Amino acid sequence: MKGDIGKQVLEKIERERVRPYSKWRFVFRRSVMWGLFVLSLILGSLASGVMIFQLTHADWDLCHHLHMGYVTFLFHVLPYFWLAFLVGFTAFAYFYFRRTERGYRYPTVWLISGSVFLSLIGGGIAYKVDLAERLEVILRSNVSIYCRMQEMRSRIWVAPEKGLLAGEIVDVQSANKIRLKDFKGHTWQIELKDTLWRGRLKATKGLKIKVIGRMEGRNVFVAKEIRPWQGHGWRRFFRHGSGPGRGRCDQPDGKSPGRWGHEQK
Amino acid sequence: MVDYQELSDEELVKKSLDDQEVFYYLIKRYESKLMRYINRIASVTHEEAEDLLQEIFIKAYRHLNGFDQRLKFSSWVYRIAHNEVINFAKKRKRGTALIHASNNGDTDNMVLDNLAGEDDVHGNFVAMESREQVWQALMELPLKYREVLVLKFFENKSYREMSDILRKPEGTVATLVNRAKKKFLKIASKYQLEGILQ
Repeated sequence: MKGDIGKQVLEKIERERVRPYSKWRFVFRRSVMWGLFVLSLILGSLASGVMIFQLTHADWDLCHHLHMGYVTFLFHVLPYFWLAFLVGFTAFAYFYFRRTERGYRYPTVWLISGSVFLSLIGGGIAYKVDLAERLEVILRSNVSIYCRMQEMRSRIWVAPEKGLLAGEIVDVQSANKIRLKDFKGHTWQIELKDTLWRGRLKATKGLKIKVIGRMEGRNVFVAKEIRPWQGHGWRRFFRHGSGPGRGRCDQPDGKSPGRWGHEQK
Repeated sequence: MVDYQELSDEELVKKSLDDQEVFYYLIKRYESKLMRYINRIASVTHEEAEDLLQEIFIKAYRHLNGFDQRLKFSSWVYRIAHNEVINFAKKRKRGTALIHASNNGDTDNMVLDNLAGEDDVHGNFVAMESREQVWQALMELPLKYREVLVLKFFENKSYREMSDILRKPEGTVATLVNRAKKKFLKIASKYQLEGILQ
């Protein structure tokens, strides 16, 4: 070495008035990383909470009706929107944890599976305390694009040849006949005979329903069972008047309020 | 009167925060080690290596308050050196360029023996006629592989220390070392073959 590096360094430190960065600068940086990690976990928990909510409220009994396995059915009803969020926030959690003081020491697989696990635990709690449900309701009530995305998942119900139909009652012709307009705009005559009405519903114009039965002709459908468009989980929100019955999801175009999901007492 | 040479690295760090002159003893302790490390992994001239070394110590001094006492100081300062070399290589975009042959012969030959022995591939580069060829083979490796070989076999760092220096899990470091050894032996055998043909 040519010169004394030590002296050169000290001279440079003196000449350029180099000072050690404040301790708080490092404390702040560490706190930011931990904070962003925790935030990512919380947001991941909310995403998984809504996923759990949507999955528990999927019509799993349709598996038998559609002659589908549970796995196949899962692919139909999986909330991909929230799954993408969960993946995204897991990636963020991983990214920020790796940047904590000793986060680099843990294998990637552990970190990712740990983040997913914590998000699922958090999601379970969010679901239990109805936070996930409230978030779903708020989004459905205020974000039209979210409504449209959720409706895509409902297409499983527009399969009259498979005995499934969903739409809005446009006319109550008699105690045994109603007219229903499905999602695709096709109008059906629904025959009610020994029909099981779930959710204490009664035929009302404008009511959104799901019908299980069989197609009898081009426009005729015999109903074996009728369910409310939204499941039992929505009941408390209808009562409080803040549920989907008043939101953007009321109309397929997501523009104006109507009676989408309205449930009768 | 405090004999600074008797103090541990961590104690010197604490004292350097109060008195910058004490930092001199840390520099003295690590300057030759880091200079060798830089020369072994980077394609730099002697002047560039000295500049890099200065920058490494200035950066270490600036970040003294960020030193995690749970780590070894040597791992921490090697990490800074690693980052500076990576930045330098990026700027130069010559990560795999050949290095000048100015390395310590005896130690390096011994280490190369160890490296060959570890993999049970006898004599692939021990048998090489010149050390120059060994270095050429090493410098043909991408920086990430070259660096792990240097840390493991030339700097004698443990996997835990390498993990702290490179900020990678120990398992990943071990995988990198294995891959690097395989790649190195492949390149080395190529050199040996050429030597025989000549």
